[in-house]
Amino acid sequence: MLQTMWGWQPALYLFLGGMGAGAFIMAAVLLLIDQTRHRLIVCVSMWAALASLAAGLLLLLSELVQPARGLLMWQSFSHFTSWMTYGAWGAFAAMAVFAASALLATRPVDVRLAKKWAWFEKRGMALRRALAVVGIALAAFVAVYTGMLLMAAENVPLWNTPLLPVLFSVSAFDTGVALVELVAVLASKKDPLAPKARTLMERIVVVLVLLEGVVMAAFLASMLGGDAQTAIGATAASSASLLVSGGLAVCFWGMVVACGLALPLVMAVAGLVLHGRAKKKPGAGQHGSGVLMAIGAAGALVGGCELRFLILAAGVHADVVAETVRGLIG
Amino acid sequence: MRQTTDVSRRALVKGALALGASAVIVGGVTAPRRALASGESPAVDGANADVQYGFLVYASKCVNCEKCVAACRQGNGLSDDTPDRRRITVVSNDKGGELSVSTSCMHCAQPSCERVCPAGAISKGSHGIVSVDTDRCIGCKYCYQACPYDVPRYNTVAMDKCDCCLGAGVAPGETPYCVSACIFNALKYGPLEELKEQEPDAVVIASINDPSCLVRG
Repeated sequence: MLQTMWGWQPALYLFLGGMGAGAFIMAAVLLLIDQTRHRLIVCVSMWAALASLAAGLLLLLSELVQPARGLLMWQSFSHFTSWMTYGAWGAFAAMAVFAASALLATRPVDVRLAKKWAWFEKRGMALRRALAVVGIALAAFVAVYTGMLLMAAENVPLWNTPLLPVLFSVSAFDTGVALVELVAVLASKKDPLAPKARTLMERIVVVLVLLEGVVMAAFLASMLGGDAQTAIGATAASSASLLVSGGLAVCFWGMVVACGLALPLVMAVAGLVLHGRAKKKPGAGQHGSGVLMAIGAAGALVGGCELRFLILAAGVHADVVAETVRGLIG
Repeated sequence: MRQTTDVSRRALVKGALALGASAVIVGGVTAPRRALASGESPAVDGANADVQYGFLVYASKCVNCEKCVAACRQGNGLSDDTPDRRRITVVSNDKGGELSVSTSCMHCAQPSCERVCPAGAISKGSHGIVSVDTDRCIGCKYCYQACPYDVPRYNTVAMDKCDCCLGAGVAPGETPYCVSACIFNALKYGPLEELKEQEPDAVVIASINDPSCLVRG
């Protein structure tokens, strides 16, 4: 039995929202560490982050029974005991900051503003850096929120754990870095990635993949170890079994673990090794490392997307009514 | 090179501060989660307006005839695209014993659906009845995910669930259609405390959210 009430739109939103948030964080970090380089990569990544989050929110809207009513945000997201309310406003604020950052990262806009506005010519970069910092905070909130939304479902044991927001947040950053890596590979002729930034991103990938692996293992172990005597424990175990050995196992091991974790890890480590050699022999392995980065990033995106679909599909309710009746007949 | 490294350190510290700030936001958000619900005063339109009403289900009397399900559909005029508001759970044991119970919304004391509804479309009103304002509901289906008893369902208009036949014109506290339809007396409706006194051996259907539904074996 699978969860079908929330279909592909919310699953894709959880992926796109997380990826957009992660991509903005990575692009903002690139801007903050070196404002003289990576102009094109930062610009395209910020627009991609905005597009990703916006597409995700549109998908959510399309899933509503009353999409038009959903647009009346002040009415439809006015109940502040719901995570969805905070998520909607958080995503809205994040989109505003992402849009402002992306606009200012666009060269013609930047040049025009600097020409017309003396203050901007002087303080433009400070403004962009401030927006990057605010954007990082909002993006982190959006990434955490995608997990908190599911965690609030008290009787869906696969979701009702603090490990889920942790898993989704790490995966969000992981997929976000992957998106920026893809942008960097595509823009490598016009705006080559500085060796320091490349190494930083590859190291981030290694750390995040290892962290995601640990969180995923803890998450699955806690579910599989659920008390089979209770409806909640038994459902937790059956949901996790669906992923690791049941009907969803091929997708889980193939797409999430092999494609989404192992492949990016191997590619990032191979990239770091290539750089180590390139330092000794300047110019060697530059093209090769771009290919490795693109393959790893594509794998991470496939895995991150599939993770949201699988977690949603396996998130079934524990049947506590049947449990009570079972207790009556012994 | 040295200078670039310094800048990046400072930038990373800023990034860390930003992440910390977001954690504070997250922390602040979790705090008020359970603040409402109990504080909302129901409309007073009768002596028992503040008394929690609920259902008592006799598992030994239920024969799974589904008359309650049909009466609920008919009495509430549910459209064809609206799923049933009542469901029969049939449980069997190893010795061949079988029990059926007919359940619907549990009208919980602290309803998860009310808490997670972003639009504030769900409220707990007179006689503890939990109902949905279909003019406000956006149909996000979050209440289904949050409900421990997976009660909320959806039609092309909004969320739909048992409201003790309030929407069908049955006054709060009066007998809903499902109870009237049960010829085996397997369903009872009334003030929850009275039902408990009548059947001290009945158990609350589950522990999550303090539901207003008792089951007697």
